[in-house]
Amino acid sequence: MSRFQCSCAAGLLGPVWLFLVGLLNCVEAQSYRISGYVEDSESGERVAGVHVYLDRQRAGVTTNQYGFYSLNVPTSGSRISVSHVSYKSAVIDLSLRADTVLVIRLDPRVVFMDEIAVTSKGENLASRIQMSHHTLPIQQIEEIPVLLGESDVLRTLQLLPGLQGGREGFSQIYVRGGGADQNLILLDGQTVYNPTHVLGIFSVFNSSALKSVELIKGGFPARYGGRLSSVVNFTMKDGSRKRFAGEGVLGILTSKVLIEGPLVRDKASFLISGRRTFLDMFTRWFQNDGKVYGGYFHDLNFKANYILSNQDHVHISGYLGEDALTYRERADQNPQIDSDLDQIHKWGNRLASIRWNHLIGDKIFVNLIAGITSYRMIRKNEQKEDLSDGESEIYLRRWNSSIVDISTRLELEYAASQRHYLRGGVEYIQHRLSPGSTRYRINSDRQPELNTQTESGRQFSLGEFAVYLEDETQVSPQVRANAGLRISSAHGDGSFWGALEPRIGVNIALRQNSSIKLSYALMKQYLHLLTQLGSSLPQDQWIPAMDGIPPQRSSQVAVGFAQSFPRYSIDVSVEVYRKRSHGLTEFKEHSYAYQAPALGWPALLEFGEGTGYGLEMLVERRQKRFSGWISYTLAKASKTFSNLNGGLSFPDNYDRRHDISIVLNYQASSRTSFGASWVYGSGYPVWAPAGRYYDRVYIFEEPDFLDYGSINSARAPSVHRLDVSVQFKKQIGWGKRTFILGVYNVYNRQNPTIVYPTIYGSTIQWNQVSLFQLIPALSYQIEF
Amino acid sequence: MRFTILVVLFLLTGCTSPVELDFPSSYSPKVVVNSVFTPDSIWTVYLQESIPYTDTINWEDHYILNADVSITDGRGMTEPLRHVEDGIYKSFQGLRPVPDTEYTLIVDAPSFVPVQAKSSAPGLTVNLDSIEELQEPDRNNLGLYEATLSLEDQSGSHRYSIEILQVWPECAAMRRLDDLPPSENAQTGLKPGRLESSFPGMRPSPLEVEDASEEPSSTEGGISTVYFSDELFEQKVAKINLTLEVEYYAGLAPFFMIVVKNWSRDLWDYTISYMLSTGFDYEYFLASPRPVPVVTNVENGLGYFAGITEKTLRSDRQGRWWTDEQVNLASNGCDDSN
Repeated sequence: MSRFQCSCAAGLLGPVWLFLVGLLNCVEAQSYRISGYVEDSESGERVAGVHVYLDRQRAGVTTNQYGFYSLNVPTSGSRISVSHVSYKSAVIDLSLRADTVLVIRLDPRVVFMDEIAVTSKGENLASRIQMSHHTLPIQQIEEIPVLLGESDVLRTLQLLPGLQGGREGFSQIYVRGGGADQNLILLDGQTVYNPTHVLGIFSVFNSSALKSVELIKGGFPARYGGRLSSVVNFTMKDGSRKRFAGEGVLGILTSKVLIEGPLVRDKASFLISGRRTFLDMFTRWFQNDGKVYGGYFHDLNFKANYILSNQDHVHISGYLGEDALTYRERADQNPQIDSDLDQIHKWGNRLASIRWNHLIGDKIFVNLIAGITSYRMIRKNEQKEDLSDGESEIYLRRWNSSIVDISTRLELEYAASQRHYLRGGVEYIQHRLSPGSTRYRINSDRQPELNTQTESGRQFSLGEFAVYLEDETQVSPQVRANAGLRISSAHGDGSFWGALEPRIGVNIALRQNSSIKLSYALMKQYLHLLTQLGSSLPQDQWIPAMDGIPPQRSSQVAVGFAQSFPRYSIDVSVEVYRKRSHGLTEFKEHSYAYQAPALGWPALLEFGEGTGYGLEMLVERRQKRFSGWISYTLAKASKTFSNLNGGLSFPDNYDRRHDISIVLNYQASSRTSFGASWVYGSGYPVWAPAGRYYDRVYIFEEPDFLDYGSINSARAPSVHRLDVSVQFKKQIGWGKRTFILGVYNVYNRQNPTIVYPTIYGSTIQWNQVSLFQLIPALSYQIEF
Repeated sequence: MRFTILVVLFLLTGCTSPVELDFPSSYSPKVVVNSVFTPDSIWTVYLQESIPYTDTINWEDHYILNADVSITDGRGMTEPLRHVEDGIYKSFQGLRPVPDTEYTLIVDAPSFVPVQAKSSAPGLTVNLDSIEELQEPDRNNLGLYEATLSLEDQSGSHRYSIEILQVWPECAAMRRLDDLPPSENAQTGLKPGRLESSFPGMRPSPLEVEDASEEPSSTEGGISTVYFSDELFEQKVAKINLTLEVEYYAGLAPFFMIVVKNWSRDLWDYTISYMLSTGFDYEYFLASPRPVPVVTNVENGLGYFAGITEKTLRSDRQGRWWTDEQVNLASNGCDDSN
């Protein structure tokens, strides 16, 4: 029984938590608590997003990110339904006489076999409080046709309403008119600062190593903060606790391998997965004149976990990823080369975290996580000349930009009653930012008087603290709400900022399976990403709020309607939103990042506001042989800066009026499946010139100059594209093999990735660069 | 960075094609000022108007011929400039640019908003300490020289460049230098030489001096001009070693011209923004989805009014000064060279 038991965890969040827990328990009717985890019966993986639903009471919960659930069940007995899109549903009759811990094991669902059997009870889109929220099964992501056969989670998210991908063919996401820096992208709870490889073409997330993906683009619960526009929450697989398994994929661009298995059967497991491009290994063979160009990316995911007891579960996880472009010259391989030269351009993320899940008295779920994350970009130019008599001359120039976070977070969850589910937590992040430092070193035996070593560039520190509390509550039989408050603050460099961030989401049930949803969220962001060129590239620099650079903040209101058709596994949703953002940054006219050491960052930046509003529609069908979705977005996003564009508002770089995505998956048989996606997007804005002039004195190669007019006042051509794929799966003696054929841009539409003008004598011509035309792909995958 | 992007993206299947685009149709022409001044030079200002983006180019139709143009030095002296021809305005009396003095240009042209701009030419103290032959001409007629300069840095932030030029007998590829006196019997010209320096911080472009994140330019084939800042020798005398690669020509011993410049910030920023703006050009299009407008220090107008100070150090292979007459150096080039 769960009455009047105050735990030590309550004290961790202070008197507020204590008061709420006690109060809510006092008013609760006679009930028992059932809590525990939902696991995959084959691998032992704990499963997030499982609906655990009390049939008679028509109330339920969803397992959290760690597979935990907790329900208050009336003593009179009850029946619970357990369902998840990727698992066979289960029904359990309960007759409780005491609080109970129950581990529920679900069998994975084979889509082709389950055509008739699947009917999901419990929570559906209409009954869920959270709006502007999407989860995508990894299995579905892997069946959507993609560029070069690389399953790409971010690219798949772009197919959802409200998300823009930026330039055609790239993997960035821009959510509801927000910038790339306004997305909180988490991998096992740690921030990923640069989510893409190859300058934005592929995402850093290896789908083989992922368990779940969650996207929130509005109505943010109080537990999330620090970014304005979205939360993208990736959870890595734990690794099978039952048996050793593996997977290998040979693709056009990359190859990857995954191995998982028990360390202690049913107690501990591990997973390790690596991915690497191999083009550079081939190109190296063809360059034998002492000059070698190279380039690659790789990433490595690893995770281990140990179930210490029914109450305690420890995880360690990490990610290492890197892109590199290199150029080398070797004097000993080419007599025309005087000295060895190494030019290296590298960037990548590194993350590591340790997490402890603990149950206090089987009632309060505690998640304590500590971790470190970093993003670093290095550009190194090193020249070494071997002189006679063993002497040498070395010239080194190294530019470095980085952000390193050390963070810790305590989260508590408590099903206080059938009507109240409480979450609370505290979080602290210590950021250390180096938005550009340069080191020179000269070490010469020939001219020792030149020897020098200098280092320039300023480092910044920012401490970010937040505490939150939210209550998911049944206000009345028709009305459910998630109300919360997040109190955030940041300090650094002698400055301090604080904010109250109220959040609320309301679900008003109209009738069975349909509802109206409303949400409001105020968000604060204490970091800025400065992009000189208008799109996200690895050399973009993170800077903190500081004296002269205020934090960003936004408020977003959304209203939606949701209708579920469980019989057909179809969900329909329509949402309208309005978002206002403040403290956005742009470089001043004719200001550049390189001027920061001399002038300081505040002198280079303008601060302004952003406005975004739109209508989003989604029709989604899941759990059937024929699944997929149709999404449509009508949106407008603009910015206003008092000293840019004459103070007039101008379209955001990725303002796109219409966006349509159609995604289809068809399981033709247990061995064959088809995937297709078609996208349409109206043109992105282009900052076009209005006038031109000529330099009569200071002669450059091209003396014609352009006088640019109103920012982003022109539009590039629209984009549309059809991608298809087919997968052939076959059970073989020791496992399963999958052969995937795909075609990107089937009808070879020349979509504009970049639009630019060229001056030919007295005329100007606009050109578009279409990077990705018809591209076939194939990959071969084995699982054992 | 541009190189990096190009390498990556050209591995993919890029294709360029013409495209129709709607862009703003209304445009109000602006006064365009082009004026670079050096100490003791005659003030010269080129004026024209900018034209709508879609207009056919005929620049001669857009010179500004009837503007009131003057220069003031902020201490009460005003120098009016007269229209000479084709929108070119010059001074004919008194006031000549003095180093480290801020001047203001004021232009009032009919039907345009008055424009003004300020700039100064920074001081420059530089000497050629020595020059000596390191290597006799090889079979390609290339020889090496080593030169040492003393450059005295003044207070404040400065940006310098050093360029090597060599007298050569071919007119067709010669470089024009307007500040040299004319020679009736032009037989030789100047062409860029090749230089190297181990002096720290020297870069082949102004942009790389400022932005360490820029991909280093290729120096394959040699460079004739290096750019650097005073970051490493603020208010000190820098001893700068240069290795010069020169070509030997029959009947013409090597004659060098080392041009050292101290740039005003206005001209330096203009140059860099020009380089960045080309990131939107066809060659580097992938680097910049957003254009970088070229900087202007002309209020209400376009272009630049900017100072620069340069000193030319001449030397033959023995370190002796040479004159134009010695080498029959042309000032205006050969008839077919331009």
